Amino acid sequence: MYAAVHLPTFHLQAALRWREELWAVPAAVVDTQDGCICERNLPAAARDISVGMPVALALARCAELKVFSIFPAKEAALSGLLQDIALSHSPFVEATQPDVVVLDWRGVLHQIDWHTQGDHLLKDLQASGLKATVGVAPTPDVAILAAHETDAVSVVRDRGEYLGPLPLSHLTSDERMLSVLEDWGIHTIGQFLRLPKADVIARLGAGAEEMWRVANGRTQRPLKLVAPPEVYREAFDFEHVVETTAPLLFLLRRFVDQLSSRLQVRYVVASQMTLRLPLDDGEAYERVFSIPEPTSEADVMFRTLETHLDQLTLPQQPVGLSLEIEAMEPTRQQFGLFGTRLRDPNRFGHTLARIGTLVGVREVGFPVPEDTHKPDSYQLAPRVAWNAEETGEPNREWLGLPLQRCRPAIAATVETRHSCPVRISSSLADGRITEALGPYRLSGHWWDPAAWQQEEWDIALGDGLYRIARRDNQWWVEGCYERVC
Amino acid sequence: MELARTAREPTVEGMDAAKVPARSLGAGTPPFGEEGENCNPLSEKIIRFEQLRGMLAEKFPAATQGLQAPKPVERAAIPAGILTEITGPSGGVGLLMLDALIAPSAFAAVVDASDSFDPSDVPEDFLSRLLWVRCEKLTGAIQAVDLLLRDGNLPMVLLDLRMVAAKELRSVPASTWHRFQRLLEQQGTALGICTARPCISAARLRVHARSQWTLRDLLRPREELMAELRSESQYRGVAAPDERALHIA
Repeated sequence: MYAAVHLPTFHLQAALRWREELWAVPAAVVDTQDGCICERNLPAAARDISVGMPVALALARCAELKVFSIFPAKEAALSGLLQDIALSHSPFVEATQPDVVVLDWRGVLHQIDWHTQGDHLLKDLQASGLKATVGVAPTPDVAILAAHETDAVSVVRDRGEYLGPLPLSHLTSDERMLSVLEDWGIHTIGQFLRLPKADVIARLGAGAEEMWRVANGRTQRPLKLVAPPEVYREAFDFEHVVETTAPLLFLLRRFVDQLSSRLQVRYVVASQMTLRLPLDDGEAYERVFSIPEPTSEADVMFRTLETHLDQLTLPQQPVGLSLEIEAMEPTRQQFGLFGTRLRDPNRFGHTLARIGTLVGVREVGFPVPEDTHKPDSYQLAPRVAWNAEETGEPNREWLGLPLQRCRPAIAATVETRHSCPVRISSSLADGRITEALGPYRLSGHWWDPAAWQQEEWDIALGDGLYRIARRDNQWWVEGCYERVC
Repeated sequence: MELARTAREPTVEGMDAAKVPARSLGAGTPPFGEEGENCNPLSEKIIRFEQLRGMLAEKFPAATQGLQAPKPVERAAIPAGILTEITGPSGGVGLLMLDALIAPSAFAAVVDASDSFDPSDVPEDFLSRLLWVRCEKLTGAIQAVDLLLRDGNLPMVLLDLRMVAAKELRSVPASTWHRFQRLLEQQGTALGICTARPCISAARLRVHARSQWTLRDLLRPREELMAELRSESQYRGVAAPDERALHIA
């Protein structure tokens, strides 16, 4: 058997997602191409708002009517949710249309009570906030028809008995063909099937063959199975600019919970999150978060977003919000017995983010030497491998004492004799130089404008040992090795 | 434009402010000097695994330390769970700091209160395991250490206060160090605070570097300097730990 799920008022459900309270008030979706109502809810129908009515007329009849336009991003998210729920009931799912999916229950379910199975599917859909109908039938096309014709769950056991009384509009939307059949006195699918097939196809063309195939209800066409998405996305547009973080965090929490559920249904995890905030001036703020240890836990993902929003400063107020998650297969990695790893990389990543808000994002990380011989040239990388395995590189022999650098270097006045420094005057090192080692000459990038060169000396004063350098005829105190306080 | 942190009426129609997640917005990091935040308990399995790893490191040191010669356990400068102050002239303190920092196959952090740490003194293959927090202010450094201790992921944290003015150090409440001590006991982390002169009253272990160096010592191998380094260890308020985590010779 096959099960089909249909979302009636699909555009309206997408528009009112995250705003369930608007189902109780008149609301409608307008087709921006012709400016007419394409879907409306029950309160709007009660106020004589009908499909196809121009929006101006609808507003004249009902001043408090909430009008929405079609929002593709929301509809894509809704379709994705529908597919994910369907995949939790069958591994073989076809996304026939954005508002219709077909599940293959042949060989998957051995229950004979298809109505109960359909009820379970419907309850799962309703638990996720979807208003859906379910049709169960021996073929995909009949299941789709059944889903369209019911308010809840419909199980079709006899195709002929079910399809016979249905109107021809279920077979095609071709007005010309329907008109011809009406003129012939053919009004139902049962009457259509009693016509000679070859003659009908000869008179009406290829369209009639397709109608016959659907009307027959015997075609077991193969399903075009849905591929799991690589990106999961939720989005929302605010009616007004947002002034506080509260609405953003509220929606983000719901987004994360929803996306986390979808990830878990598919047994995948989030490797990266992209937060996008459209701003009032038409620009947008975008930030990509790399999750240290890919996970589908909502708390971990939300904590990262919340920490970031707490310290975010924007040039304009946001008018929307979208969250995109890149999914991947969870990695299976055994702990190395002879190396260490961080106990909780996600927690550590969150801690680094919080430290970054204290000292600046660029000032915390793991040092990575730049490709230059210039001293003190390091960048801070936000993330490295979380397993501390030895690389086995040969040991280098380290000489002398470690240097405590002065950042920035301290300007100094140095008196030299025979090119050797003999006295220094600066805020850190001051006095007669008792001993000096050097010069150690360094240079680099001689081939381009970034060329640099400097002359370094290690000097001894009465109170300690220092390193000084001369660059462009200016002396600097680079740091100290030993300082007796 | 900075989004307001105060709780106002949300702008989305029908949205109930009570539905906002319970955690307070804009709380960010715990305020300076605040106590009482619970640390997440470690997974029992992870703890047992770490114990297994420690046993293997003792029985088979060559396997855990690759090509480096194994470091005798009695050379560990900073024991876990005890607030350690390393004080004295900066040369000796720097040597002790590097000796404690660089451990095979382990992560560590340097919280640099005056942005004076030089990564070129650290083997390049260790840099990928060394977290460097470059601070401009002492308060930022203190808060960073607090966060790292509560995180519990890093077994070793060093706070370098050698170039911080004595007057500024005296302004740090003693309760801060006592709070760190309690966190260390809970997490089993090793925390070393490097100072130019003794000033951490709550330090349970104070290692005082006594050696003084000349310019010619800058040309000698560092291993020789470490072997000649003279230091004194003083335990305060707690019995000396067992042989597995001892003072500097």
